[in-house]
Amino acid sequence: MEAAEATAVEVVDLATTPLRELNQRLHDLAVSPGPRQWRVLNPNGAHAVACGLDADVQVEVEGHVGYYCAGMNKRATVRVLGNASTGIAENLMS
Amino acid sequence: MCGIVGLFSKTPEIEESLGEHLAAMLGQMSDRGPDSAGVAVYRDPAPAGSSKLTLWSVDRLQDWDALCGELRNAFGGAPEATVRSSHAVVIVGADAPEAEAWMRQAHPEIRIMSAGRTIEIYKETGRPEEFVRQFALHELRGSHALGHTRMATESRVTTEGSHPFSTGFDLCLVHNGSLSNHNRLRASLRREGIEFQTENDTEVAAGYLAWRLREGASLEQALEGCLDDLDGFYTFLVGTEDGFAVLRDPIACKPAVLAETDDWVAMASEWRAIATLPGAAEARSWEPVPGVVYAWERAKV
Repeated sequence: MEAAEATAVEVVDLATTPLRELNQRLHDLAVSPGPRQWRVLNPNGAHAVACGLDADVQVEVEGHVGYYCAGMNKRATVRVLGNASTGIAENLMS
Repeated sequence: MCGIVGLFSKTPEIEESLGEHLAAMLGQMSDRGPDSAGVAVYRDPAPAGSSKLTLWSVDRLQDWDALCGELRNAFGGAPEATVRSSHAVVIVGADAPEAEAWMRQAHPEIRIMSAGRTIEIYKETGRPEEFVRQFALHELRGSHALGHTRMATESRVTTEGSHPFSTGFDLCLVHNGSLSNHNRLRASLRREGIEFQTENDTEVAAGYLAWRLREGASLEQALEGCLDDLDGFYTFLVGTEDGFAVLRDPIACKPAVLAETDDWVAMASEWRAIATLPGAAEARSWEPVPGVVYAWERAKV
């Protein structure tokens, strides 16, 4: 069971899921357990993707992001498979 | 902040859906500029011997048909007005300089948004989403187009203060940034005979380009002149009859993204506007280098 949980990847498609919902779910990880690996699809240049993380998790964003991606990060690993713009990983907390 | 978008079609399919794509791109730039919006669309060339004027009237009950009657008396033909909200596009049976001169003299109360062979400029205060709806932007077909969403910083929010500014026949400019020497430059350009309708800093840049072109500079030379003569920060997108050009100031405080596929060339302040286009994921994309003029034009056959 532990092995399956460790490798299970939570996939969120920003083409159909509001960004606010993604970021809220990522914020919730600071206070309650949840998936450790995340894949974000179709960022399409959105701003503030995966901001304010405070948990030991990995987030992989497939595509180009806009401004301030992964800002105010504490403990997480965020990987962007594409281009990033102004303020990438700004205000790192740890 | 302001947002800029530009789209240049390379295929009939993109020409057909130009307005739709422009509307989507403009919508993405709404956050950058909620005050006003405007576009320049290059489409539907006026027949030889005639020219196209895009006119704006404050009077919501403007009698465009009566105006067409006057134009018929002055120049012959059967001019018709295509009305889009507060604007009207009129084909006049005379070349652009003559048509414009007549309008200024006969109807100084009507603002000429653009003049030329193919250009149509529409601009208005209010949110970009409202502008798109009001002008039924998605209906427009054309070869290329520029758009702008405004966050006014140096002058008031007015229709005339919105971009694009037309600097000459089939020529226009949109701007993200702000100029600091615009007052001094406006005064020098006035002495050179360039006229201004607003206090807007972008209008000064447009006037500067018009002056340089009048004095014989190529578009590229005129844009390069901006690097020496304009003080401030800017990303400029200039529209011409045949294409468009992009220039960022040497420090490049203001953003710009360019992208190209086999079907289109696009420019925007942010990638998310370009992401709306078909094939964007596979496009070649890059940031224009500061102080370098990038230009695309349709080859003349």
